[in-house]
Amino acid sequence: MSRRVKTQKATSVDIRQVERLAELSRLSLRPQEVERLRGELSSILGYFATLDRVDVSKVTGAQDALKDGGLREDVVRPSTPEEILEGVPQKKGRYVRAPRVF
Amino acid sequence: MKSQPSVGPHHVPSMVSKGEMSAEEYIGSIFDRIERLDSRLHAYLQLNREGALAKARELDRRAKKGERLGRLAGMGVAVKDIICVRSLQATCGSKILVGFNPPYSATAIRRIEQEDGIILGKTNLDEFGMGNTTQNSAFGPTLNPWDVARVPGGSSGGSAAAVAAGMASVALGTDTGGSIRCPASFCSVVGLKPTYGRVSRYGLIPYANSLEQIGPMGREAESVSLLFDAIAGHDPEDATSAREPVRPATGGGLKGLRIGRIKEFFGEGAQPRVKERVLDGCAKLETLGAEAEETSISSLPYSLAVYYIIAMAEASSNLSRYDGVRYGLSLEKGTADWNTAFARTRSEGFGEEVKRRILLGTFVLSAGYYEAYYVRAQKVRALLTQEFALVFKKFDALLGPTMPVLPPKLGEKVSPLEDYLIDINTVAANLTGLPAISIPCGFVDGLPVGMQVIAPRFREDVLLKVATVFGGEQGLKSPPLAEAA
Amino acid sequence: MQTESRLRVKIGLEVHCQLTALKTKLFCSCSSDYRSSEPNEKICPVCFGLPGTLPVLNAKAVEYATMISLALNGTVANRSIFYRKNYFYPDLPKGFQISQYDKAGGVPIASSGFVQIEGKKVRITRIQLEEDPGKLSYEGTIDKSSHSLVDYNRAGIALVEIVTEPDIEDAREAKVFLEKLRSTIESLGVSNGELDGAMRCDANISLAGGARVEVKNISSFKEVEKALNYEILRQRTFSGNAASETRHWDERRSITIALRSKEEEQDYRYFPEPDLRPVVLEPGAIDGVRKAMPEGEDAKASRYTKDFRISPQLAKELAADKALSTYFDKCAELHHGYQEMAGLIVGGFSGDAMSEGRAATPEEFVELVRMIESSSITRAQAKEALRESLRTGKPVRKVVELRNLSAVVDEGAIAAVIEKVVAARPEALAEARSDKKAFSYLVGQVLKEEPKAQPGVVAKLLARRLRK
Repeated sequence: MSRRVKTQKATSVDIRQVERLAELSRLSLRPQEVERLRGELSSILGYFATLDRVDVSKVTGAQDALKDGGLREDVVRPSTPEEILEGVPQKKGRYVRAPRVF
Repeated sequence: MKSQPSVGPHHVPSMVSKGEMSAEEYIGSIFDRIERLDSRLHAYLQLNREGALAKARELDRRAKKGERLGRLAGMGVAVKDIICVRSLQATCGSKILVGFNPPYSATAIRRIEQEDGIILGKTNLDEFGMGNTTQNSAFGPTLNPWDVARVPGGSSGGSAAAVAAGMASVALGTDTGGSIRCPASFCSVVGLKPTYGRVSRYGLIPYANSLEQIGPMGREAESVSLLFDAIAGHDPEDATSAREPVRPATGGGLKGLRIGRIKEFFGEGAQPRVKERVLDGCAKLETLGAEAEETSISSLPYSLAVYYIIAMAEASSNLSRYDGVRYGLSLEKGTADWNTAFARTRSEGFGEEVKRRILLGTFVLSAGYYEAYYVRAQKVRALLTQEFALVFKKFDALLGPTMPVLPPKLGEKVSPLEDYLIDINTVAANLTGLPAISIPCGFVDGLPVGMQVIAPRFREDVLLKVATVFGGEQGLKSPPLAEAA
Repeated sequence: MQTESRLRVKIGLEVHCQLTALKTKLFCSCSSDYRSSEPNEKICPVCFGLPGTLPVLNAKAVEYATMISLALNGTVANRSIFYRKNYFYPDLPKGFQISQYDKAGGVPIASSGFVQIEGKKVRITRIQLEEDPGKLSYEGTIDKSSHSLVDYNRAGIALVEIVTEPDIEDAREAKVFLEKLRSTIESLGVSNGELDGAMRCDANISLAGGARVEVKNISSFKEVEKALNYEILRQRTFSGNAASETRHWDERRSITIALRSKEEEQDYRYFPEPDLRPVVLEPGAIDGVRKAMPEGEDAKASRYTKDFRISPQLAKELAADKALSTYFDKCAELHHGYQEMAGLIVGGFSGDAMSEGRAATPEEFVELVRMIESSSITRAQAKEALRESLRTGKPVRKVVELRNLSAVVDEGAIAAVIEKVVAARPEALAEARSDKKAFSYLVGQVLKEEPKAQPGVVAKLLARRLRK
C-alpha cells in the first residue's frame, strides 16, 4: 500500500489490498472470500467517499471531545491472579503457553 | 397456563419489600415463562436459574425480617451477553469467546446486585454488537415476539425480545449506533441510550469505545427509570465516565416542552406509514402540553459514513486481543507459529460481518489513509456535535422515527451497505454523545413502530419524563405469542 | 583501518526507563514489584488484557514523567494524549500498546531538551509515557522450542521513553551519555537504574549519511558499547552502503543479526486511545513539579561552584553522588569551610557510609574539619580517624584522642626533617627550585618521614629552604 498521504478517498480496493489488510489484521481468508470482500469493501468505501463533500475547514478541536481527568492514586489493590489463570486454555506451570514466535 | 404477571415490573420492589409478593415466586414464574416461550424465541443464550432463585429466596428472608431492600428488589434483569457477569460465560454472540468466564462483573452489574436486582441470564446479540437484526449471532437468531417470521432488531435483540415477551422485568442492552433503540423500536419496548459517560463501561466488552453505552430496556418507562438510576453515575474504574450528577425525575406533565421534529429523520428513506405513526405520536405529545415544530440538522445525511468509519476503526483495534491464548476459543493444539495460529483462530472464531468490519477498520487506520478517513470523520463528527448544540438552544427535545422501516423479515438477503443504511436515524446520538430514547408509539399491520426522542447531554430526565407521560397513554400491550402462552 | 574508516558515525538512542519508584503499574493497581515474583502473580484483569477492562492512568506516573522531562531540559506539553500502537505479539495482551506519538496529531508529554556531556549537548527529540509488554521465554532453547511461555507480570509497568537526535558520534560517547542520563534520572528518585531491565535501549546508527540501521535487544548499558562498536565496524565494511534494516544484538555471540526481512514495513495504525482522557498540565502545575523536585546534578554542581566556591572538578564529583552531596549540604549549614569539607567527603568514603553518619555525624565531621583548619590535625590524620571510626563504630573525636592524632607544627622539628630529606636528594633539591612536580615530590618525602607533619607548614618551610 502506498505510503503517500491521501487527501481524497479510494472508491475501490483491489485483491492485493484486501490480502494486505487480511495480513495486517491476522485473518486468513479463502480466495472466494477475498473476491467477495473486494466487492463489498469497494462499495462501502464508495459510500464513505460522500464525506469528501463536507466543508470541515472551520472545525477546530476535533480531538477535544473529552476534558482532562480520570486519573488514579498510586496505591496497590489486591487482585485474583489464580482465578485469571484458571481461564487460560494452555499453561506450563504458571506460564501462559503460546505458539512459538519463530 | 399462567399468564404474565399483570403487575407492572416497577411495582415489584415495593411489593417484595413489604412482603406483598414473594420474590421467589415472581422469579420462578419468569423462568416458567422462559421455559415455555424461549425455545421458540431464542432470546437467551444462558440462564442463571439456580443463582437467581437463591437470591430471590434470600430477599424474601430479608423482607420478612423487616430489612431494608434495594431499589430493584426482586426485579429479574436480563443481561446482553456482551456485558461481563462474574462466573457466567460471556460470549458476545461469538465462537471466539466460547468458554470465557470473566472473573469479574461489570460495574453496572455490581450496582444492580447492590440494589437487589436479580440477574436472570445472558441474552442473544449480533456478534460483538455488530448488526441491527441479531442474525449475526454465531448461535442463531432471536425471533420477534410480535411476528416470529421477523427480526427483533439488533444488536440487543435478545434483551428486547425477553422484555417484550415478559421473560424478564427489565433488561440491559448496549448501544453503539442504535443497538438498544432499534430492537426497542422493533419489539415495542422502551429503550434508553444514556449520555456518553453516564454509565460505566467497565465490564462492557467493547465494539467502539467512543460511541457506546450500556442502557436499560423495559416495557414501561417507570421500570426503565428505576434501572437507569441504579446503574448511572461516575465510576473511577472508567476514565471516560462523567461526574455530572443524575437529575432526579420530575413529576408533572409536558407543559412548555419545546420539541423539534428533525426533518432529515422524516426523509425519503423512511416508510410513509412509519412516519405517520410517529407524527401521530408527536401530535399526542402536543395534546399533553408540548409544543412542536420542524427543524433541520444539515450534516445528518453524513452521519452514517462518519459512524461506520469511526466504529470500524475502533473495533479493528478492540478485537485484536482475541488470540485464543489467554481465554476463549483455543484451536491450536499443534505447533504452528504465532502468526499462523493466530490467523487460524481468528478466522474460525469470527463471523463474516465481524471480519468485514475489522478489514474496513484496518483500512481506514492504515498509513496513507488515516488522514483522509479517520481524521476527517472525526472532524465531521465535531461539526455534527456543534450543529446539535445550536439546535438545542431553541428546543428541549428532538424527535423522529427510531427506525425508518418496519421490522424486516428473517433471512432477507440484503447487501452489507443496504443493511447499514437503516441505522441512519440512530447513529447521530452516538456520535454526539447525546442521550436518546425509543418509545413505542403504535403499530402498522401489527408490527411495532418506535418514536425516538433526543435530549441535551445528561438530560435523561427529560427523556424519561416524556416516555412516562406518553407511555401512560399507551397502556401495556402484550405480543400475540406471549398472550397465547 | 585508518584510511576509509573516518566515515562519520551518527548514533541516536531510544532509551526505555521503568519508573521503578511507582508502587503500581501505569494503567492498573497491580504492584509494580515483580522481580521476585512467581510468573503471572502480579496480574489483574486490566493488565492481563481481559475483555471489557479499562485502563486508568496513574497520576504519579505523570508527575514523574514531568520531572524527568524538566531534568532533561525538555518542553513539557500542556496537553498530551495517549495513542494506540497496534501490532501482534504474545507478550502484548491487548494486541496494542498504549503509548504516545508525535505525528498525526499526537502530542507526547515532552519534546526537545538535551543532556550535557563533555562539552557537547546531546539533543532529545521527545519524551513519552507508555506501558511495558510482558516477558517472553521458551521451553528449552529458542530455536528448538515448540511453544513460547509468557509471563505478564511486567505487562503494564510504566515506562518513560527518551529518544535522542543522532548527535552521538561513537560508542564511548553513547556510554557516557547513558551514564549521565541514568544518574540524572536516579537523582530524581523516580527510578533505580540498577534493577534488572529497568533501563534498556535501542540504537539507530548510520555512517556518513548512509542508511540507518536499528539495533534492538540491547539488554543493559554495559552491552551498549559492545553492540555499537560491533555495528560500526560491520557497517564500515560496506563503506557506508549498509542496508537499512533492523538488527538484533546477540549477547551470547557478541554480534548483530538481521531479523527476517519483511516485504512491507510494519504499519502500527496509530490512533488516539479512546479509553483515556488527555493529560493536561497547566504552567502552574509544571512549575509546582519543578519546585518540588530534587535538584539536578548540573544545577547542584553549578551551585557548589558559584555559591560555595568549590573547584569545578570537585563540585562535579560531589554533585554526581546523591548521598555525598546530601551529607555535604548538611555540613554546609554548620560550617563554611566548603572546599575543605568537599575535598574530604569526596576523598574516598562511600556515600552510604557518610550519609548514614556511620563515620561521623555532620556535627562531628565539622568539628574534625575545624581541627584541620586550626592545624591541630592533618588532613591525612582526619581521614585515618574517619576510617577507624567507620570500622570500629567509635565516635571520631574519641578516635583522635585515643590514637593521639595531632599535627606536628613545630617548625624546628619539621625543618630538621627537611634537612634530612634534602641532603639525601641533592638533584631533587635543584629541580624543585623551578619544577612544581619536584617540589611536591619533596613535600611528599618529608611527610613520609614524618606523617604527622602539617603539610602546609612543610611547604612553607621547604620553600624557605629552597631560597637559601
